[in-house]
Amino acid sequence: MSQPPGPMLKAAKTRRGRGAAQEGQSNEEHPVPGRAEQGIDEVRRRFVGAAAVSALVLAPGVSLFAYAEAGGNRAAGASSKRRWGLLIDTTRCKPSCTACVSACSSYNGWKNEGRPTDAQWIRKVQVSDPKTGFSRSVPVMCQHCGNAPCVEVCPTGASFRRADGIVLVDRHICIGCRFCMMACPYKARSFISENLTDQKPWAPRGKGTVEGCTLCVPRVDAGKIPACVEACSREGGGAMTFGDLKDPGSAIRRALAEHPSVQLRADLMLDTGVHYQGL
Amino acid sequence: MRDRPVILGVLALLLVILAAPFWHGALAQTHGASPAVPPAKGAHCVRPVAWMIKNHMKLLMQLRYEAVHEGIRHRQESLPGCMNCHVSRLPDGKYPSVTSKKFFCNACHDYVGVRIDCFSCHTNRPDAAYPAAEEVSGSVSVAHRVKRDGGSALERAGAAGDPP
Amino acid sequence: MSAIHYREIDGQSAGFWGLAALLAVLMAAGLTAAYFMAHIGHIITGMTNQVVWGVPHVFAVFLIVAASGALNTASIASVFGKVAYKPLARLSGLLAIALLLGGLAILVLDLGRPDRLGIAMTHYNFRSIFAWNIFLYTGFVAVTGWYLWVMMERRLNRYTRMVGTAAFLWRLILTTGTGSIFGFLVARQPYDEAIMAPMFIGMSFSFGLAIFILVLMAVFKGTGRSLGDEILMRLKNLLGVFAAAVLYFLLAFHITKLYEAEFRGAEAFLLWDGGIYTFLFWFGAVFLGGALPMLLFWLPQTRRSRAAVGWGSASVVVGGLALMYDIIIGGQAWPLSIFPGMHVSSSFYDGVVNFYAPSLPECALALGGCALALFITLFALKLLPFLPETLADEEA
Repeated sequence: MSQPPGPMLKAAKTRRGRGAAQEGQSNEEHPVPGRAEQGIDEVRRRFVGAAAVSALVLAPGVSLFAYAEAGGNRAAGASSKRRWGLLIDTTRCKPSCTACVSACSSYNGWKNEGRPTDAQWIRKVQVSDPKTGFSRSVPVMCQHCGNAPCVEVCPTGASFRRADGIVLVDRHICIGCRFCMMACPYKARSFISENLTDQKPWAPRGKGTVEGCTLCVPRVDAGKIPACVEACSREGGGAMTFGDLKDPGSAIRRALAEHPSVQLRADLMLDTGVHYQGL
Repeated sequence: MRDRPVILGVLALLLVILAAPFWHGALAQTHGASPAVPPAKGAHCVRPVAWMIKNHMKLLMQLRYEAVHEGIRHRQESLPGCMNCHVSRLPDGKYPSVTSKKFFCNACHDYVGVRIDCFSCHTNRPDAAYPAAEEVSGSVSVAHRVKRDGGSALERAGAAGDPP
Repeated sequence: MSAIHYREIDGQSAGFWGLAALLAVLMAAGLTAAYFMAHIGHIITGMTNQVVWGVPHVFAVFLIVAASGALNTASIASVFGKVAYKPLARLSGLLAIALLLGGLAILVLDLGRPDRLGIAMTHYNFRSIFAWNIFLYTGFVAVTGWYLWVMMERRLNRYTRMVGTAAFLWRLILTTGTGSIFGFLVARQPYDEAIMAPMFIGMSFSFGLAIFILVLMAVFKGTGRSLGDEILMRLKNLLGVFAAAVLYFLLAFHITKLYEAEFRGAEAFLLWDGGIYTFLFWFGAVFLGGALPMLLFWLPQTRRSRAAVGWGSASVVVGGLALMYDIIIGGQAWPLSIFPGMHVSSSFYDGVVNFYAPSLPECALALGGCALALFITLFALKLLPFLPETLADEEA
């Protein structure tokens, strides 16, 4: 858990007045892995603090810190060159299987004890057409809309869409007004009505704020797939595919190109990141 | 005009009350009591300690913005990273509660009377498995290509030690 | 018309202090409820992940809508130049501010994180109608305060028309914003209709004037000032027209909804077999909020009765609350249609009518907000000359 002192002290020194140009240079000396993919996001994040004696956060995203471990320790970050999405093949989804729900619940630390105040980030909806007898079991979670109503209605901007299309709640600025829950067509959001303890370190959640499926964003940022997708392929029917909707070569894009799919409430033109087949 | 002493008296009292943070702090210092900060596990902090004492909140605010909005998650420089190093089991084998004076953050925050609400959402317990001990490596876009027939055929990279 | 003399109310009587004490108790109860809601969580309310807005929102939206309507009387005097209403203009402005503050207090204290009010004031998403409403509400208080100032400061009286017009336009925009909170909700079949904005304006005219008449009658009775029939009958006729306008909007709203197959399920629920919501709509909104007051105001037997004016106004208020409950709670009780035309079931109450039962704390909070509005009004009347010494009929 310890870290060599070198870069840390160096960062401290640069803060005491080395110029911005020099700092930019030192960034070049320690290129970030995957930097080529990052483009303007990375430029925006670069060191700005020419003569700053003490470091300050001027505004979100404007940084006066030089990163000690800029060279080795930062992950790639969300890029608008990608759009994460899910494809759910309902023909492979078994009505009795709840592997995705259990995996989400245990990874993110929410529990459904059957109360109407309990959070549910993902649920299995049994769908049947009374006129034809057609029926399916469908996992429903945040659809990570391109035109997300929750993002549009949020008064503080706590509900937001990352560059890579993942819709999240910044619970640091969520005031708990629940307008997003009114606006979401998928009932994808839950409000926390009581004090919580023992949250997962990677999934902070707490009373008075709204939450929902994050597409397991800490896993995604670390290059892994969401817990539900993993569980579905391991224990379930392999009905879920996660991937980059902007990459024509990705498995999800190839599957979407090959077979028809639908978005839930497609009439609303929300451009969902979650697609369904076999509905 | 006979009210003048009363008005001035009330105003003076009000000033004294409003200045409470200052004289309370001054009193605390004269008593010589300094916060008992629990020791950390690591050899040194992610920044010089003197700098951290003054600026940890600014660092945390920036890390928070980057992690939540930009998806840039640092290994040790994160709130869970802080917990991993600064929170240890008490002699009774349990971790200090969020309200306990023995909890690292409270040691100073109680002393200076600055309330934080980080831990209404974040856990204050360390978790060795997170943040990831290993470096995240490889191109993320490659990492996320998952075969539809799933199961054992998941192609992914940079898995070791990532969030469980 | 003779010169109008405004005077503070005495505020010395046992009745005044008794009322003030009652309101203080209600406010304390509301604050206590808010404290527990903030510290224990919304688990102590009836609100759930299905019905996310409850009784506090019913009262808050009612008060905010009524606030802009309470300004009617002042607008009629300053903007439309009807001198008969001029003596009432100050009370009208005062009531508008007081009701708005009462409603806002409820909204703020119901937040999941009321301690983050500062964030709501510093972080704005301008695509959000809610964010706009924050400006519309605070701006309304400011503009109406300015309006009161130019009305009450003799040297500034010449600006009354200009500022009054600004306040009038502001209140129209404000209620459009409030109605749009619901009108913009495309996700939910019981909402999602542009007519909700003008419908809320109609509702504000009606609810606001009804509260204004009730307060006017109560204060004049309590202070022994004389309130002439002429002005009261004018106000009552106006209220009858506004109540009819609300009925018209409700008719247009539901006819439109019924015409679209997509909305028929929700409409059948709200208008026909929705239990409490159907009852609240027909008996509350339509009968108490519209039909009964119109009958009381205009039937030959009661049309000259002052008691009928009072009862009719009270009926509008009760009917208005019923309508607000029907819109806000009933609209959420109807399940979302994620798979249109399909039968659905899940662990998350998909496809079932959602249950909601208000709890004591949320009702206390809601009543506390109403008490705050009246408390502000009561003490403002004591501190500043809002009311004319007499509103007796002219003896011309």
